Amino acid sequence: MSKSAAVIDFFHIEKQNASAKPPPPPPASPPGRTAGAPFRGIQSLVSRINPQLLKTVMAASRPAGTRPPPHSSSPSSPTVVPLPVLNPAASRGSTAASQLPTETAPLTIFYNGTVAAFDVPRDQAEVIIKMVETGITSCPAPRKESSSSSSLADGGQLEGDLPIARRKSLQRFLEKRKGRLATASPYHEGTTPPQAC
Amino acid sequence: MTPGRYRGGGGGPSARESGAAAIWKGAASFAVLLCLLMCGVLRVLWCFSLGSGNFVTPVVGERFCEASVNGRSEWFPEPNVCSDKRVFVSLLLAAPEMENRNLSRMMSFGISDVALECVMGYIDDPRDRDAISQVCRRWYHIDSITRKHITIALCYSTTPERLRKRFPRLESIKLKGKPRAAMFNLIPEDWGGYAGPWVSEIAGAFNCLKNIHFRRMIVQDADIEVLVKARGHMLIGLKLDKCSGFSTDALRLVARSCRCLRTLFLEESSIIENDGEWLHELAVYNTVLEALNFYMTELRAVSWQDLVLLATNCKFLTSLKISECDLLDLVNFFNAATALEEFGGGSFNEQGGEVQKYQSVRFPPRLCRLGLSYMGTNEMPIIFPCAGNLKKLDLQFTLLSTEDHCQLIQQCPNLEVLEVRNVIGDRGLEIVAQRCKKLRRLRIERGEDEYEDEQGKVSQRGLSAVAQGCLELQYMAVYVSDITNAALECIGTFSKNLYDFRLVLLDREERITDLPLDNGVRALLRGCTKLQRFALYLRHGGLTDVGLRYIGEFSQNIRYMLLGYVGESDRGLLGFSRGCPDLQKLELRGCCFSERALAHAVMQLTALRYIWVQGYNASPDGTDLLAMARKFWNIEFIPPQQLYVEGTPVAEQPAHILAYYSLAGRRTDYPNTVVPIYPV
Repeated sequence: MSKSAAVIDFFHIEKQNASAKPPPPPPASPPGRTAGAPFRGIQSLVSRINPQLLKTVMAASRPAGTRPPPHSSSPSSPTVVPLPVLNPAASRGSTAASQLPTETAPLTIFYNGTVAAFDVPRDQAEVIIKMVETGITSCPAPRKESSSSSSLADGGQLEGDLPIARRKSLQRFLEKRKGRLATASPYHEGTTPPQAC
Repeated sequence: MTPGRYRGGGGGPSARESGAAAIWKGAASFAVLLCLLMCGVLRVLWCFSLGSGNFVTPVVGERFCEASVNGRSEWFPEPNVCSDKRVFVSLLLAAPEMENRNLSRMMSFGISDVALECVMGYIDDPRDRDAISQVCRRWYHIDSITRKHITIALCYSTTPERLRKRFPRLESIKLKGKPRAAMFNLIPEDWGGYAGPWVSEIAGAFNCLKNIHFRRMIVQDADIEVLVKARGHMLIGLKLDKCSGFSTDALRLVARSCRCLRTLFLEESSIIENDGEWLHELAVYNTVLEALNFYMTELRAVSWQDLVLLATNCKFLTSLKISECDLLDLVNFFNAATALEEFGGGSFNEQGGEVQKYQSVRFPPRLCRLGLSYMGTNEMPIIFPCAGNLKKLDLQFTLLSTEDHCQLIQQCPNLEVLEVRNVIGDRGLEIVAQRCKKLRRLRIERGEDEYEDEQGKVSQRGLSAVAQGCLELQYMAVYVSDITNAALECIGTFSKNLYDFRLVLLDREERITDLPLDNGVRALLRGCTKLQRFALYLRHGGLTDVGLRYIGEFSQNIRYMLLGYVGESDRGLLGFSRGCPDLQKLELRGCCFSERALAHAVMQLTALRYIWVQGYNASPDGTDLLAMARKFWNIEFIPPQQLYVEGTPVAEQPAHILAYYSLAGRRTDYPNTVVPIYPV
């Protein structure tokens, strides 16, 4: 799936690159996804991170092979140091985003010519960065799967597996049915409750 | 911005024919032509030219091409681009010395305008009308003033003013706004499709308009107010179909002002509910209502007593489809609505507890179209008394098991339309095949991902059975869990009446018996020669590039296609686009094609006027899409975004491309979520 990430150019790398090539046509990035406000807090946190630690975070968190860093000219290979798993339930599965109360957004970190991108909700992002700051390095790296996990191993076949979309009317019916099952009275023993269908 | 004008074929030898001979020849030819036109066989373009410098040329300002199938029409304005196919039969009549009066008589072959109007009034088929309008100016004009109905498949393809100039005496109009994907929660709510501009024009100009149908559009209370003030006294049918933006206050206004209203259709619209007064006022003020539909809306404040009042006052009420309301509250209504033939909706809120609480529900004697929401196994017997009469049965929103479906359908030999979820299973379909010999339409929707019933899967077994058992089948839409080439071949062999076929392969099962489906698809397309609408939604490996090429090669008459996860590479798409001579509307999802291939395909598909793509091999900046930039072609890009369904975030949606022909120029009402693409 094409990740149109709201890229936070902490180190003004984009500006330097942009001056070198012509500007792209209008639909380059979704205008509605300006990531200014929610990320300023994170930005300030990131700027205070020990660069060495940041390197190890990125190396550890980048899933092998799926996102080759576009800007890497001299890929550094720091020692792989795992990070604590923050939310194991949310880190797997195709509906990671929808399980969390806050909106997820891409978090992209550029450092020294390498790049890593994650799809995290804001609070998790802040937690990650805080943990990096305090230098916790004892647990396995969190795996951030986006909702459309796809292997691009077949030579860029697909942008990502789109789930088969459901019709609105049926979607609503199935949700209501779940609600009815949940509230179905447990007291009527002899009858067939609605869920036996 | 005249898309094109045709000049006559030139004077030549015909200029030397005498006038009289020309008239007789013309009259004879006209009689033959008229017969042929009546049969809807001949598509003719005649060119006339007159030596005296009076050029009578067919004016092809706006050609509205319509696909009319079973009474449902799809229209789309088509600018005269060079790649259009035309059948030319040129018959030259020229008499330079003739004066204007004789000229006009000759043009009409001695038939007066009034007579022509009468004749044309019998011709409804839009493609015939399209051809007629290109014969000459007079015929164009008469077609203009005698056209009764139009469907505009995308409201941005033309403007209200153009419509008014083209067809000033329309009696019925159907407008569609948002792309079809909106029914699947894929399009942002504010994408567009505003009824406002159209309503203004309708209020100002269309004096004969009696039937209005807005589908997937945004209609505000103010719009309805304008509409009702201008046309309320004449309105016979108002359909706000999957619309949003209005409230029950507007409905009240409609109820109060439109006393001639026979059809009020609000199915699946998002309506802001302030109260239930509108239904009360409808019941009080209307006596001619025949069909009322607020099915699949969230209207709760309506009172069942008002329904009883409605049934009492409206003796012709034949169809009622409602939102959720317990069926026990409708007992009195069913007793009063003696003319009722169709009922849908309702609810069963007292399931469990004492058995057979719903036994007191008695359906009216003429009821033959039925759909009951949340009906369970215990309540099913209330249908049995009328099962034998049922022509249409909607079980999509019931809570029945596979076994229940089998039991129920066993008793419905007269079914013509059946809509179910895949819980019906192969077993249920085998019973359909045995019992429902008159079946014309079959829809098998997708149920829960975790199968609701262990038998609740549809596969090649059920499909083959239905194809062989129900030979009248015209429409089949199925979500299957498994499929084989043989089943598709079977459909191609037996379902000769099929004009609409849609197959979606669910992604639950890892292994599918028989992939790829190249040969089966080819056999189906070759066998079902009447096919006009086709959807195939598979998975990786479901259809190779060769198979995709087959689709292009063997889809002579197909006008609409939805393809999902088909093909392997750009080559497949390019092979596909060399065919499909009649393809007007194309939707692609989850395919691997690059922007360049998509743009190339669009340019190659000669009849294409609308394309929607989601999930493709996007380039970083979308510039490759500009390869399809051309006059009258609007390109819109909806970037990836987080979509919300009723407040909760769902998976992030990848980008869409939407491109379509338009005589209206660029849209002026884009929301932030939509980005127009055009060359600078």
